[in-house]
Amino acid sequence: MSKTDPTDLLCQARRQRLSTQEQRALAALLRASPEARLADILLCGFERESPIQRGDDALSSRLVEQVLVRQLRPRTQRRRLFAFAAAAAILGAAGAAAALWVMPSSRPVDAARPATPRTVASLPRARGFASPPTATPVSPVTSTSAVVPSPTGEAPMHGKLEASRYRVASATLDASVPAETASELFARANLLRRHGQSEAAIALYRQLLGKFPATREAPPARLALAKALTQSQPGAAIEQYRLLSLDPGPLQAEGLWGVAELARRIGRTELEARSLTELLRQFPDSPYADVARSRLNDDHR
Amino acid sequence: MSIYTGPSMLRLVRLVRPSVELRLGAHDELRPLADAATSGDLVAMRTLLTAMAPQILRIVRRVLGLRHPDVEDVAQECAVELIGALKRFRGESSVQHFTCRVALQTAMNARRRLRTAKRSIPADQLCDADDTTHEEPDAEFRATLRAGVELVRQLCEELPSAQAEALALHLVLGHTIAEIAAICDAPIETVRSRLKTARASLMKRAWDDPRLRELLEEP
Repeated sequence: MSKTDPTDLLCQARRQRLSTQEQRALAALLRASPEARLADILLCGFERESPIQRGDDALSSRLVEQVLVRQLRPRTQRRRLFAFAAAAAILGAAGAAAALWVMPSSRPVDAARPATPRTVASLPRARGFASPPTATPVSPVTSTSAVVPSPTGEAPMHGKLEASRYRVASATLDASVPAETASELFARANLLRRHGQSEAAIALYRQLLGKFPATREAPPARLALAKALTQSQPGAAIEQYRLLSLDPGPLQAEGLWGVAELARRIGRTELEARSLTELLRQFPDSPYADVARSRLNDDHR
Repeated sequence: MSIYTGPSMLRLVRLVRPSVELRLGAHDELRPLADAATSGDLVAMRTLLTAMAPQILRIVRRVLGLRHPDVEDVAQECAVELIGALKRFRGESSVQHFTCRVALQTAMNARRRLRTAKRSIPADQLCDADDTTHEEPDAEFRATLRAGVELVRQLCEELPSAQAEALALHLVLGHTIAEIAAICDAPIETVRSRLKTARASLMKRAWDDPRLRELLEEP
């Protein structure tokens, strides 16, 4: 196996099997490649999902016993079941044949109605192996949301991006090209932000939130706007976090945490405490919960 | 051990334990057991399942989540599926590889099914592995981890099955390209191509998530 392949380097790193040279190569890769950083964090995240737990030995035993019990179902019982199923099938077929014999079809053929096509999705799922995805597959990078290389301009993990992506990236930075949809606005705002054009990015985030407040891009756009405003306009940033915390979407906890963090930074301790309390009430198991409890306990001392 | 060397990122990701390594090209010690189990030898079946149960649990937990209430049920489903699928096993890969593939597909199908059924999960069962032994750097790092994990799970439901399988084998289970090729019985270049396409989709979604963007933008 190739240890120089970035994929393999990351995997082998988790098994602690890298030479000094490979460790240096990995460190350089993590500095240079956003994709490698993401992969590394994801490998870490999934490792955390499967530590050995107390009681795993008993759980494994139960698994084995339950499967064996199913395999041990008496053969005679299986024979009876088979015979019953066969009899039912024969009777059903006989009944259908009798119905056809007695009552020839009098329904007019509906030539105008096309047969329902049997799509892949309607086929019965093969046991044990992949079923067709029920949702539309995510398309690869499209022209309206090109993956932009890292700000350093260095090539990402798998070689240089195609030239077309660079052309598309530059096109969407052009303000004279109007963005039509929330998705386009969001992609353009993100591009501007990555290119250091914060003011232009802020304007586009605001435009998106004004024109498309109920789209799926709105919450992440609001979070991005809040982060972008943090240094220059902390009051406005707090307001955006507050609005995010009121939006019953996937980033509500981030909104409450953002209010608490900024409030702490600018010395508004009461606002911080209220936000942390609300965060614990609504999201007691969020990643922020432990720190929130700790801060509230410290403040009460 | 993976070390972030940027000045703003002093996060030390500690390896909990080595991931399961699949020895490529080695003699398959489990093959005789699998053959005997297939022909109805219950003792062999018990031994095989006992050997594979930890791997199945690991896979199911990573696909569903550590605290998902259906982990045990889905693990049982995977084990049953494995016994059934062994009848079709022709030795294209090792038994361990085969188990990995069957368990991963079954767990991913189960996740899809559970989400379609809108199975509601009590909030107190959705937490991360808060009782792990390694140090927690900070809350935002944990939020980043969780956002990334959920993104991959969601993406695996949406991608074409071959890409989803390659992505899951790499990121969810931590396998190398050669291991993925052996598990899927596919050429290495095919696996590379699938991973490349899947990663492109992943990066696009990650850039759109403010919780992950800072990680991606940091040098």
